[in-house]
Amino acid sequence: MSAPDKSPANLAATAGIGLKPEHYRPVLEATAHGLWVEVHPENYMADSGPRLNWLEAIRRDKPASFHGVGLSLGGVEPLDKGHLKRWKTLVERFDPVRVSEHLAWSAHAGTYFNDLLPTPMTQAALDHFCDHVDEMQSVLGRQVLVENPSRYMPLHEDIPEIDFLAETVRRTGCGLLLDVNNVHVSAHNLGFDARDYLDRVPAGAIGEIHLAGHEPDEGLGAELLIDTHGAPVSEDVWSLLRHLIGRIGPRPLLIERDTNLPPFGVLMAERSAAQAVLEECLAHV
Amino acid sequence: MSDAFFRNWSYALRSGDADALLPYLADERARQHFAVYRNNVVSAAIEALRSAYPVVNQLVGDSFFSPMAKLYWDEHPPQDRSMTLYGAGFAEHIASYGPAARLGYLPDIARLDRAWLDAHHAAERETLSGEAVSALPAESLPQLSPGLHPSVHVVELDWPVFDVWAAHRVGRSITPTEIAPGHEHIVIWRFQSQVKQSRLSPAHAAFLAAIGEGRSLQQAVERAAAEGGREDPAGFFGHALSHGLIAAPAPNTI
Repeated sequence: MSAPDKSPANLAATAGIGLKPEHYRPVLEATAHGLWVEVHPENYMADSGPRLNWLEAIRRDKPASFHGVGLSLGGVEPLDKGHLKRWKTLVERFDPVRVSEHLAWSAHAGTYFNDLLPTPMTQAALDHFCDHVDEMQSVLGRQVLVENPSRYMPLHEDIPEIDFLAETVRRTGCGLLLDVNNVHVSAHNLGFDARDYLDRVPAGAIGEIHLAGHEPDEGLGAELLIDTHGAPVSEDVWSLLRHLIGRIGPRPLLIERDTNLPPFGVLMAERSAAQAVLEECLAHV
Repeated sequence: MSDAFFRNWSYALRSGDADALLPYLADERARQHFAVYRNNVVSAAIEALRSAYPVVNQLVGDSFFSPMAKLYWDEHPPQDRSMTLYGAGFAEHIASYGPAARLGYLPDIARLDRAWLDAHHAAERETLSGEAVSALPAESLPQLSPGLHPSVHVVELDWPVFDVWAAHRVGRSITPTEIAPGHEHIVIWRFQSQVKQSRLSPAHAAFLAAIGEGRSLQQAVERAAAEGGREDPAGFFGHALSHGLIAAPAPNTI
């Protein structure tokens, strides 16, 4: 297996936010200590244009990470070479401080579904997934962080998700992007213990943490929680975050918000709360 | 892991029929949870189209737009892993969409929205300046074939909806009543990081279209004349240069 050519760049264990076009200007002007941003590279794959100019301006004085949603690493088909090439072009241009993708699939037989679809945790899927992570790392020349999915349906599987991820780390040298909200949502929907999951994640592999809000399904109510990125981070998830940080120490932490986007100040207040969790942890070391 | 898992999931996502997933479910009661994925996939496509075609959406409203967009997704699911430019054929789709038949101008609104989107995301390229042209030997100018900046789109409309469209782009709402078919020529392009739009005479549209095809200035002037243009072509060329419409030719072609 190919070891990544380059370790993750130095990114302080501070809190960042997902970058939305509505917030380009306030982010550019923000002076909050340690603020960093994350983008989906798929949104910057046009030939040129103002979005790329904004990202370039923001990147000049703030760390930026790339969080892909379209490579379909958890699928059975070979990776889309053209897409990977556009990824590489962006990595070379913006030198992101983190590069991440998902344990999920999003395309099959020429159709792109633009959603993070469930990969069954089987031995065969693990082999494919590790090959794909290897290829992504080797083409980009970066260590990739792999994110745990939000899950809505129990599938026939033979490997627990956390073991699937740990084995991927062992085989490929990738890291993990641990989404605490996804752990909460999946644990609720599939009926496992979120704290037990967090206690079993290999701490040394975690290169980044995500926090986001979820909402109950419109039809089924609280029986099914949906990872909408459309609400503030819930108290349950804050509690899981403090539990996790208490065990592994601080990590770069990102607030994701994609729908029902609040004013910039409201999002930054949530970001400050995340920053406070990290600083509180440091104060106790 | 067999290909069948992904084939069956793809079928279920496209059709909305979750029966094909039953063999993979550890708990059949979760069958109804499949709607989460199906809704995500369908609404991601609809919202991508809504954001790419904002004036179409403003004119017809969300509840008319969504099923029209859903049918487009049924027939033309995305293939590219970036959704930014999804929906290239949406104007043609609207033209053949039965419920929109009484809105004959709507495909032209979609063409303008599309030209705006394409201009916004087009590649960057150096533009030709008036100074650079002045520095060229005068006798070489008729043979100059500079091409257009990649963001330039010359659009010929079958309905004169430019004013309606342009007003909506800046948040003013004009309801297009009593519009009769009639031609308009529009240019939409990016200049100093802003998308610009302007109405053109048929002669000037023909001039720009010829430049865009790689024709020489002399041929472009002839095309403009064939459209009955009596305007001064040199004056319009100067205007096009100062507004960033004309590409700087590769160095060895000057």
